[in-house]
Amino acid sequence: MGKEDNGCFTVKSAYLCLTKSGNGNQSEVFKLLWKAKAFPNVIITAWRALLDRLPTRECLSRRGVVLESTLCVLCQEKIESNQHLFLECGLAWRVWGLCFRWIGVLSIQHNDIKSHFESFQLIQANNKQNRVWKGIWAAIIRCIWEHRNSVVFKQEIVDAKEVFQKAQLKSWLWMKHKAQRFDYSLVDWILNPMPCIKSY
Amino acid sequence: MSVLVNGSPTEEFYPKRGLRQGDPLAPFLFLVVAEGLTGLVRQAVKADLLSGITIGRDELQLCILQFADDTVFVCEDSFRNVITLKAILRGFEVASGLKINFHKPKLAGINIHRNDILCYTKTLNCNQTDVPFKYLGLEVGGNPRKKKFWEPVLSKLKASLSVWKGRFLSLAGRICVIKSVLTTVPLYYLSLFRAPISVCKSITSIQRRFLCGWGKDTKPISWVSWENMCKAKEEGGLGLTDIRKFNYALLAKWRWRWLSDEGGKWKELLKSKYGIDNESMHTPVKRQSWWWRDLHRVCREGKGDGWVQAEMGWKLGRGDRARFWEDVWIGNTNLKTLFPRLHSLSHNQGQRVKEVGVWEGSVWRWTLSWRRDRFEWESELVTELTTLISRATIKREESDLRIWERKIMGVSR
Repeated sequence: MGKEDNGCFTVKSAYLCLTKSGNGNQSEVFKLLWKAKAFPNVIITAWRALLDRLPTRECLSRRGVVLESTLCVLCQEKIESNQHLFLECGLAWRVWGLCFRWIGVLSIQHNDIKSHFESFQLIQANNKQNRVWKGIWAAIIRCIWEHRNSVVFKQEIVDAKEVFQKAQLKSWLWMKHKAQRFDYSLVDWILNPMPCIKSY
Repeated sequence: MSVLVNGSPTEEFYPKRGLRQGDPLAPFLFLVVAEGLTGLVRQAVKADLLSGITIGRDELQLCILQFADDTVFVCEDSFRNVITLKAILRGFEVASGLKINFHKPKLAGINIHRNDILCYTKTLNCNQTDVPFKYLGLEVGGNPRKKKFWEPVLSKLKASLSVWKGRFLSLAGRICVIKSVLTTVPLYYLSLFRAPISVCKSITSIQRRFLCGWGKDTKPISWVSWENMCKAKEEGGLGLTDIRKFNYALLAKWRWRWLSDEGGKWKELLKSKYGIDNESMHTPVKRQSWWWRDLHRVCREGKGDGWVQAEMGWKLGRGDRARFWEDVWIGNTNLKTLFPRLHSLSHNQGQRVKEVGVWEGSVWRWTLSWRRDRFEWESELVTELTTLISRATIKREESDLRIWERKIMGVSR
């Protein structure tokens, strides 16, 4: 906030003191999310996923939308809730598995999407590098969601590998266009991601 | 021509070419010229040729208002004033070389017979206008509590946040547009006037319409409630602006400027008109402008003296302005709420900090006085109080400084 430290009035600080009063429950999750290295539309999708505000079938039926079924579009086995779609469904499972193998870390298991996001970090990496990592998380969420939509509306079927590759491409594009001094090709990014992230 | 640099004139030089449009020197040059007009008016008033209006009990004289290239003359109703005005303008024209377009200025009469105004406009060769007129993009004399007053803001917002434009943007893009539009379009109005609730609501609805892509009759599910979107990003919102709170924050700035030490014509005017001193919010005069009343209402909201007051504290100097019990000058709360019991016993209620102690040589000694002897448990409180206030450092040289958000306290760091 900078300037009001010298005791001078700023409209921003006044606005903050009006809005902060009451529930000041800041959450680490969202702080990390908005700092993640990904395109804004990707982050917004991830934000909605974290808040459980994406129109999954379960979410729609909760809001009184009449649907043929509330079963997951991808596996037809369980109710398509936020958590199921992004974490538990077979496709999501495989995508996350690919992701962990790609980066070379042990997989993490969480039933809750928020804690999944929180524990999604590299221990050896510093804060800045972890932001790239969180960006990859958001990209995967976005790609799963896009895939799910194409299944619902276009009747396309894609396998986990392709979904994951799209996510790789998305995060690479971000790095390519937004990060300074990033001159790795897509092949480097896919074959050897760790040095790419480390160099950032 | 020569320029003063650090108070000493430079060598003379001849201005050869005019200034280009957008030259950073242009406003200064303009000010030099515009000052000439003010000087002319001042001379005319001194020579008793032009009589401005007088305001309030201090009889503040006012006859010209200038802001950048906008000028307003305020004069009493007399034919002589009009003639003088014309003479001043003509004189200014000749002296400065600027041409006056007599079609552009407008004459507005307040409580003046229509025939008189007609006569004046004929003399000045200018156009006539009515009282809610535009000055610096705001309506002078309009009533900010009416919805009509806010119509320009709303229509501008509607134009820039129309639903069809949002169709081609992602949600993230629309949020970006909303943020940029909201901080520019209504800002000017909101920084001066309190928006009525209905206006706040329609501004919010325009935003939501844009964000969620509401059609004329269709209304998709709004996935996140507006309150949640208005939360800060760290709290799981989108950091959108709550227009009402933003309005309040902008208006609080006036309160801050009113209380701060800087001068200004507007302060003089208000002091003269309402007969108030710097500190109090209380206005004895009955008839007040909408603006002033709204400002009070905004600042008074909340507990006690209002939220604005609650956020303000003092950086202690020699203790000449902060009140001992009532103001915040040490710690984060005032002593009155910390020690309510002692406050009720104290003789020092309402006194300034410097009145509650004395300098003994170079040592400051607190002299608290009480209505009666304290009970045992009360004297414990007194020791607590004295240890607290002994942490404060009183400086002889500096005056107290008003601070916002009570970041810096009287405790030496």
